[in-house]
Amino acid sequence: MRENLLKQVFALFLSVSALVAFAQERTITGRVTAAEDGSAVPGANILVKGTTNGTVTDVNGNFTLEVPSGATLIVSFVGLKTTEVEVGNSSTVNVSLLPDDAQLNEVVIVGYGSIKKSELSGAVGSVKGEALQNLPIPSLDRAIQGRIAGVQVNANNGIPGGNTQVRIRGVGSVSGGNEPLYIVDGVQITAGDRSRRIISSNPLNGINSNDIESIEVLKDAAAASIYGAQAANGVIIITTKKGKQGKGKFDVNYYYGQTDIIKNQPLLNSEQWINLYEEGQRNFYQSFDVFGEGFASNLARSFTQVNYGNAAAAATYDWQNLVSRRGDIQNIDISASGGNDKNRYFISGSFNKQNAQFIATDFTRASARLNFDNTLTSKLTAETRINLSTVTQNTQGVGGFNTNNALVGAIGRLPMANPFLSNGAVNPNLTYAIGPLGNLSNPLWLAQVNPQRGVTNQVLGNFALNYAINKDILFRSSYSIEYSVIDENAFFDPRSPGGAGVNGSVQFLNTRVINWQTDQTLTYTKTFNNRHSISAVAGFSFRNQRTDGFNATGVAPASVFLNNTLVGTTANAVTSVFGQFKITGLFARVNYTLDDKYIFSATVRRDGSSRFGFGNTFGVFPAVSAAWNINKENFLKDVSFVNDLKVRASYGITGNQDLALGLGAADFPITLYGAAVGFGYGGAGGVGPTNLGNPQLRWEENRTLNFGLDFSVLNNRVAVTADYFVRTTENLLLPQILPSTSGFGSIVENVGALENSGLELGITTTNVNGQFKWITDFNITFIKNKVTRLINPGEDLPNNGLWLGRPLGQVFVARYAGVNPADGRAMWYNQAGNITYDPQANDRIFLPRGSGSALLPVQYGGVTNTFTYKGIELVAFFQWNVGQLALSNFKAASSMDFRFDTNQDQDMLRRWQKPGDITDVPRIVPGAQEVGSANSLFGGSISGQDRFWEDASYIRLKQVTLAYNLPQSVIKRLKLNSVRIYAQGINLWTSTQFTGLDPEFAANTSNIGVLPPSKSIIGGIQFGF
Amino acid sequence: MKMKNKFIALALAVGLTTVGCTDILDTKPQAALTQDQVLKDVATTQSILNGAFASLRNGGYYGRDMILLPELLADNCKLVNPGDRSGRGLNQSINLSGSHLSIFFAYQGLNAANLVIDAIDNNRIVVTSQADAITLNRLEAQALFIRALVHFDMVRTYSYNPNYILNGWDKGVPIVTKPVRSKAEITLPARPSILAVYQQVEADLLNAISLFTLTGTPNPASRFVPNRAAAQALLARVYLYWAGPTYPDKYQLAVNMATEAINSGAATLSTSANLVNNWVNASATAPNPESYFEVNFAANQENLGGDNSLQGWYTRQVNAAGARVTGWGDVIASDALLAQFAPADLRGTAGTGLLNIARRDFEPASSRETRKYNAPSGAQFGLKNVPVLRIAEMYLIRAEANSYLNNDAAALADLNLVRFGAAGRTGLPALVGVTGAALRDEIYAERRRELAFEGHRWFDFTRRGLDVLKPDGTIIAKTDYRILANIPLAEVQANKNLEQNPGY
Repeated sequence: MRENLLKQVFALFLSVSALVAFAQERTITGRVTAAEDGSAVPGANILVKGTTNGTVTDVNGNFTLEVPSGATLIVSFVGLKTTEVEVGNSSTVNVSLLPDDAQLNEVVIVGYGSIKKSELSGAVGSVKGEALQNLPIPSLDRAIQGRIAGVQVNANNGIPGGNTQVRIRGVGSVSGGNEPLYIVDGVQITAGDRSRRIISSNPLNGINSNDIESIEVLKDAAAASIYGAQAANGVIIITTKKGKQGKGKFDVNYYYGQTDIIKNQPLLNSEQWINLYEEGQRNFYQSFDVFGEGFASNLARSFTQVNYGNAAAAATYDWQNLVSRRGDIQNIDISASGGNDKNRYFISGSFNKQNAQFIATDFTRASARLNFDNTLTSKLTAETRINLSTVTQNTQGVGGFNTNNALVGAIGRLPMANPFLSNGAVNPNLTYAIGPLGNLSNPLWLAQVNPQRGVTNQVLGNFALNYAINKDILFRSSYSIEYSVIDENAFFDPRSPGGAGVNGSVQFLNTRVINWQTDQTLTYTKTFNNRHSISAVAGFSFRNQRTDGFNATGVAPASVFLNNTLVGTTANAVTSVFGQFKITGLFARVNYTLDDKYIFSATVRRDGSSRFGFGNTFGVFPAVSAAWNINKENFLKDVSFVNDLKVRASYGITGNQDLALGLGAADFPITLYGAAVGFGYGGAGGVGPTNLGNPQLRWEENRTLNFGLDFSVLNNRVAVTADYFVRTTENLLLPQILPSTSGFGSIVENVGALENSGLELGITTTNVNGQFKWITDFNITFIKNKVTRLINPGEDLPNNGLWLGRPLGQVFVARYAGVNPADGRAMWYNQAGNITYDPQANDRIFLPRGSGSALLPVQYGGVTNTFTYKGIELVAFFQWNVGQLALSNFKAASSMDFRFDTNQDQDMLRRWQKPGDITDVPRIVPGAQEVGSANSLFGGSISGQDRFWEDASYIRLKQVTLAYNLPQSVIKRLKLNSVRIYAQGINLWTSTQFTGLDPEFAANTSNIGVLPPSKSIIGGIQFGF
Repeated sequence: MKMKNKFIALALAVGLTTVGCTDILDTKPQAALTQDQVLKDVATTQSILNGAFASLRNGGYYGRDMILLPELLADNCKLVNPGDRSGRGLNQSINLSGSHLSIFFAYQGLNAANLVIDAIDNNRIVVTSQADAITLNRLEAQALFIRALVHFDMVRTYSYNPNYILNGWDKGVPIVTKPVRSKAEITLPARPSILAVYQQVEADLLNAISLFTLTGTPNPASRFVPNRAAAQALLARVYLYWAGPTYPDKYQLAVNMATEAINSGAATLSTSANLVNNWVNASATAPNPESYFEVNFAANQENLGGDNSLQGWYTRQVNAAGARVTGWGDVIASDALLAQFAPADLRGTAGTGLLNIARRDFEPASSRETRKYNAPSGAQFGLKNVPVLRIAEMYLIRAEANSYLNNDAAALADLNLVRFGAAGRTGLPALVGVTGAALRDEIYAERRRELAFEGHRWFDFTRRGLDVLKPDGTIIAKTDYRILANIPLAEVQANKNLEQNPGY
């Protein structure tokens, strides 16, 4: 069919050329299609060569044009190869445009439109959907980790589908939000955990990564400022696949895999634990002069043996192994796409189930996607994008020192405690649970009796109409909705610690997010005199997001088996939550390109948000940028090895309307009186002031200066993109502490400033080209962050962890000096650099280790090597993070001393035992403090000293994929279009000095009880027919 | 109309109605009220006042610390190690610099009381009936009580007793009598003289008493909200603190006010038959009959829980196998306190009395914990009302004041009421023929036994300008800077007029 068309066109050309001389001015009609799939190309430019006479194709790719005899048409469209066609004397000219494979003409999606990469003057990063194919990672934001310069992704939690932290170009806010704005097929989504208690959820969990066409990251103000007050942390635009004209295509894809823990904390075995315990007791009794040496030893031994038995005879149970398991992952997705010249569709359904590497923790998603593109009339097209999903997560404790957390439970249990009864059943009351924390019951039992579940149902929908007002102006009317319902349900058995005090409790939490938007835009595209190319967009948008929900807790259930209902319980706590914000904006952007060489762009948006104080409801967010395609200049035209050379510069302002959520001033900048339980008294409801209004409250303002350089040489074998940026945050929201006599704790004010600056480098090289092909994609980001202004000039805010001139997340702690060889006591350095046993606040120093902070690394990046040979494809993707500091919480909690009757880190084997021992692990003492040693915060605590702060740099083989595409000859015989067999490994190899469970934990959070990421291997097969 | 025009019209219509005017940005908090929705009538005033009452429940105030820490900071209690081994309470038990009562935040709760007083004084509350008017009297009286209580607690924690001002450090605590509704109303108050604070407290309480006494004013029978007798009892305590070498006239006022409270009949002294039960089984519906005022912990969600409630700090719950189920029992009776109890004294008897065997590891079998804050049977662990003012304290106040007024007979009579009541109370016999200094010693010893674990001990040293004893026999000298609590650094930083206490 397609071949025939080409033949026809070619034949037409031949006959036309013979008759050129006789032709006269007349009307021709024709149709422009894409050679790749035969679909119509609406909006293609058609110009009669040597004149300004031209037209644009309509939505069906048709055009009508007056041409003189002998005319040649120049047909062009973004992303397709510009083609010249001689008209001859035919009255019908159909043109089929080949794809333009030159990288420069790639189209990049930007806010409210798309742009040729060669005309881009802002900083935009992009990942194609293929790179994310079949990643067994529930949420998209995790999948882009390491793939785009300037984008840092950390997991808040390793539970499948857990929330993430995404930081584009550093951290720009202290009190407000730092997450980028997500736009999924036009639907603006505010990132963040919507679950309120039990699960850790991610609003992007509902999207099947195999539906993704591309992900674009708008990094600088020039690219992002069209989103105004929501753009300060960057914008991530996710575009899903759409149907293409042609015979219906079906894809069926299935993979299965297994997942496992990456690493265990090295803990003591029973013999070691009992011996060390006895040693601790001995040390304790010896510290009393009244006991003789021998007496103290005997006392320690008998006490230990009575409680814990004989060391040599004790069996060891590996609790970490018991709470972990070989998990599995299954995924099936089916898609159908195709259509004719009027109606195209992409529909898909998927089911993904992951049993995590920890007991009672899993993730299940079912999703359905309906993408339709319909041509209604010659001027009107409609786009429909709908994603429906349901996600179920079971988990045992989301983190924190939580008695119900399986990981905390496992690391806490004594190795001698037998988890099972003689009949093989799980033992609820552990034999050795005698200590004060003995009530941390058997985690295996808790996993059975305390189910914790969350279900997220989500609709993401966008409907848009495009109307071509005339050949230059397109009107687009777009309507979006996100509707999410998160139902959480937890049970705490009356026999378990979480339920003991209240005779058991059942919790139901329900959260609804209703987020709707409309965007109305006019787009104008025109080229004058073949030199001046203008594209402009103007429009307005409105967004209204409402979150509400309730919590209900019932206690004393009638039966422990009635664990999923409030029926039969006594109402304990019932409360509801509500939040809402609205944003409205007017925006415009003009791009002007002169001779394809000089590119200018200007954007302005005026945004109002209900979150701003009445004095500052509206803000204006402008940006300008320019670029110069130097390689198009005459002096470089003949330099054949330079394919592209462009410099870019931009400056602009974006806003952060995600104000002070952590400070309780979330949505309403006025004085509020709450009716929380805390205000009720004696059974009567009460009301109290909760929030002191700030009529001046406004957005945090980001001013980004960006310089960019793009070049590609040697037939595009080497392509480099470099960006240097300075991102300054002004009007930084900080909590101004109020005296308690005011009746309030603090008020949020726009007072501070901070700066992120950095260098981003992306290099793509085709190392070997030909049948065997090797492509390397490398990106790296160097980042610096510093606070430049706080509340009072020249005054630090140490209580908030903020120091002028220093980065956010600065670690300020006492320095550990090891152990006194004479008596085994822990030592620290004081201010003067001398030894002290009791460090104080002013003995602290800023930790230079790794020279990053707890929030930010020094540099991070990723490298992907892709090898293809015939149908075989091998992809290896490494990702790294350098210089970030992290607290090794678990190790610290299990190596402070024998304070808790819990298992201890193997580091304890290195403890000081006798005078002269040189070691960094102090003498073992049971109880809180070594006599005469630090009881200050800075010596006694885990985080107040540098002993457990570590450099969390790592490099990780994030992904390795081996795929084989069956040759066409085989496929044809099978009557299929394609068959792909693949295997994929995730996190198979890691190199790090960090001694905690994983270096990838979210920045600056306590990682106690946070489930670490897993490693997994999957194998799958994909059929296309 | 052509399609094109329809669209443009639609676009314009939507555009014009949504952009430019701020109306479309209106959002209304559903889970909170705005300024114009509060303090409108009696009901909305009552709800703000409830918030002021509720602020007393805070764990940093009467929910726990105001009761627990004065014991731990002095010699009635010891921190047991291993207790929970979390180290909590350790710093207070050794009086580490800066580890003290930290109740300055309680000023925040005062704002609610001031909002009520201000709205009533300025006639902003809509009154539709005579009943409304007298209800407002009650609301204002109760708000004044809260204001007095907070100021008094502040001044006895952060300032010297007016009779024992050291080194001329005559710094009271900020007097806050104006509400804050907007940023513009925030003030940065300095520290007035100590006397000024006592005078403010006295004025507020006298005002409250007179409002309660106004004809028709309903004097609440509930002991969970401030009533006239509670105001009198608090004022009696204030006068006792105020009385001393510099202000000897306050002794008589203390006697008078204690008498008013006692004679109100609002509280009755327990007998030996119900002394223990009145504590252990006092519930959200039936307070201890000895109480004038208890901070009410009624609903389950108000429970500070197994970890943080008074019960959780003072006791632990064990299962049949002896393993801890909930509560930590960090703070138990010191040996010095136990030595004060005669064998017959119910207050010192384990199991059947007000003490219990402290069931924790590594402590001697003689260890005892209090049962005063045990939740009544059937209630959640930790859910227990906190008595603030009791009739036994009134008798002890009157006895102490009378002994300084040389009314030894009256003093001895009151002391014996606490010991023996009408027909036996504590198990101790009535004393006969004790006078003078010996009598005073007996009164103080009785006070220690009677009010143990109730948040009096630290103040019973400091209000009299004495060295504070510790369980191991060491002392915090009366000249030690740690006698005064440190004002939190954040407060001093936020209010440049607020002077930190010396030594911090």
